Amino acid sequence: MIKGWLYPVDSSARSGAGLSANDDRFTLTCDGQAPVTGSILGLTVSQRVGNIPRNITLPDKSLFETADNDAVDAMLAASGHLAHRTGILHILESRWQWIALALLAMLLTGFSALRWGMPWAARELAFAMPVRATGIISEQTFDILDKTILEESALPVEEQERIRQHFETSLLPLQREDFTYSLHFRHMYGIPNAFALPAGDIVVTDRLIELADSQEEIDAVLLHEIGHVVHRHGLQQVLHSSFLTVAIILISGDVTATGNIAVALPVFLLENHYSRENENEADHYAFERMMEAGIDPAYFSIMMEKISRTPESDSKDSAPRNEEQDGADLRGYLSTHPSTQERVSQAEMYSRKFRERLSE
Amino acid sequence: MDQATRTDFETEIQPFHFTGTGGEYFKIWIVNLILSILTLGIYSAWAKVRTNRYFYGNTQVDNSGFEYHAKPLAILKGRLIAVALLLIYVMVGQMLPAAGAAFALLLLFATPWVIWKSMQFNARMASFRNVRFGFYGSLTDSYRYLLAIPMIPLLTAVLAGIVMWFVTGASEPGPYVALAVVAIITTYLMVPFLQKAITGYYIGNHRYGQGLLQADLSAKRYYMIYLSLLGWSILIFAAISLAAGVAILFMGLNVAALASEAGGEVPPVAMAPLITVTVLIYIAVLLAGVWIKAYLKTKIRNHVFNNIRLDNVVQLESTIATGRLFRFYLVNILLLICTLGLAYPWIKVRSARLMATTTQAHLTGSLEQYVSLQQSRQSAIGDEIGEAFDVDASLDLAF
Repeated sequence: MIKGWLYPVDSSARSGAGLSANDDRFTLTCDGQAPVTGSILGLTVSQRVGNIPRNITLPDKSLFETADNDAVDAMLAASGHLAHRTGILHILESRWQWIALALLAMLLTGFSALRWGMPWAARELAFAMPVRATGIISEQTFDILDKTILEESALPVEEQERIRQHFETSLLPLQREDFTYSLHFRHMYGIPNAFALPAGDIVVTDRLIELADSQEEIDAVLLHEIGHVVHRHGLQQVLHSSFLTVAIILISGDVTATGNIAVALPVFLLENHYSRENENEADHYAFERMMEAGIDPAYFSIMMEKISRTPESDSKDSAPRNEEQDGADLRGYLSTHPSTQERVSQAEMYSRKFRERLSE
Repeated sequence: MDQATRTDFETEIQPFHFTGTGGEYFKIWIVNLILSILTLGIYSAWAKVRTNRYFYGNTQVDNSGFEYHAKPLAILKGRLIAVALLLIYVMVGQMLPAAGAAFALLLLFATPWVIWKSMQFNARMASFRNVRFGFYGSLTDSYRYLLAIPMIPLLTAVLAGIVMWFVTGASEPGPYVALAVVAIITTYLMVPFLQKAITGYYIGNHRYGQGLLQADLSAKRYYMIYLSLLGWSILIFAAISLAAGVAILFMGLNVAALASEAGGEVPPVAMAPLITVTVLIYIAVLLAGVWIKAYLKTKIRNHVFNNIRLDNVVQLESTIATGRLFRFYLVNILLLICTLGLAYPWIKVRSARLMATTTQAHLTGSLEQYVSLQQSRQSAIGDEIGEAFDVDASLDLAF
């Protein structure tokens, strides 16, 4: 007999009661009341969680509450009650071997979702978005940049016009997507830099143009930026970091968690990782278009070395060669761009291919 | 009938118990976590229900446990809406910062409503001895205590600033900074009052069946608690600073002496004690922080619980001591660090057990007479969103 409390419908008045089962019939006995019998299948039984009291609701809505979980489970199993099947969660929750297995599964899934799932989703979504939708994001970002770190270009208008002319007639025909590209010149603290916004706006700083000794060097940079646009890297980055933020909030259940250094650091490292992959992708795009257009990819490496030698650029890149090699391993995780050396050697490899093809 | 038969009721003390164990909950917790991840978060609604049922059900008094009745599907619906809102907020915030800010402001103004809904939901989903709880606080009061009153100093300062600008046309930042400082200080001074008002609103509007819960809290007591906390903090930090000052001075002299011996160069070994002292100071400050947290929680919890009554039938009593809670927090921190967070389920169980064993119910009447009230269910959606934002945790009502 299962001992417990019996409560009338919606009432807190309790009396000691006993429940006994016989095949699929139950009998409930309670002091001073006539015994109640019925089919066990007509009882509503709460799911078992650990060893908390079990609630059994009788057909007349009165409640039988008992702490004897095992006896209730045995009764459910013997009578073939539906609630017996939902007991699988309790079985999972009470076996260490299942838990060890599941823990392993969880780590694998978590890792795969972070490593492959999220970038894949960001990529698919970025390519599924209509090109026009990227316009809003670009405009906003460009506005903010113009108000904060960018200043008007000091380059002569004729030179700007000449480069733009060349960009539109020689470089744009190399790509086949329907972005509306436009080239902008800006001054940015005298730093040589170039970047692309998702809708096709490409910004080049004055210092970068000054550094270039030939049109081919500028072309190399511009093609790299077109690569970012074509591969929709900007959009992917926005989506990816949105996913990460939401995932962190969901897992930790805390909106403020994203500001926590323990969370922010892995996110920062992860995002840099994808940023480096994007740079590589844009580099390869540039190399291939250069070969197509008959420009030696070596110009890319010339430009890279010039940029890395300017004292205004990041101090780590301007460090002497030998020191740079020592620090390369650690920096790999911390930098948003692949190391200059890596990129230069890639460019030189393409350049060799290019020259071989010329000599054929 | 165990109590109804007694006519002359003498006060009977019933301690609360927590009957769960860390090992048992660890398994429930890890299965919840795994299934939530494998189902991309969908299972989290079921996980929430199982977790709550575990903690409610194991919290027992007078031979009965509490029960949590929410349906996972209802919670899932609320969570889906919340996740959609969150996704929109994050994406909009990244693409159009201005629209993101507007959205955040909208969320801020919706917060008291969401909290109000969540209080209703959580109360209705809880039962004890077959009788449901209920929350009958007004929405107006929710806006009053959670939004209107806390904003008074800030709004007053902004208004005063605008008036000042029109009247005097002062362009130097000085007076405006002073206004802002006054507003911030006033807001801080209001914290004890607000905490008392919100806790009173929360408890005082709860019902157990037809029974009324009451919390006769005293704002004066809240201010006294914060005042004595301030006093203790000043004492503790003064002591730490003094000890640190003396140690560093002594050490500095020592380093200087060693350096002059070595001909002006500081030998690396001389720096070791300095580093030790720095680490010690850091630990002392950390411990002080934990102690302050324990002190505040103890004093406020005892005051609140000692003033909770259900009709003339139940009077609660809380007897937690600062030292005990302080040690409890320290052990938790060590456990979490040593197990890289895996001890979380044990800590949750330990916490529930500590809170239960330091709480007693004084029964001065019969608990037999309560009946669940039929509660209206107009807008289910609001409840579920409220649940999704887990307001109990964010309000931190110090229980």
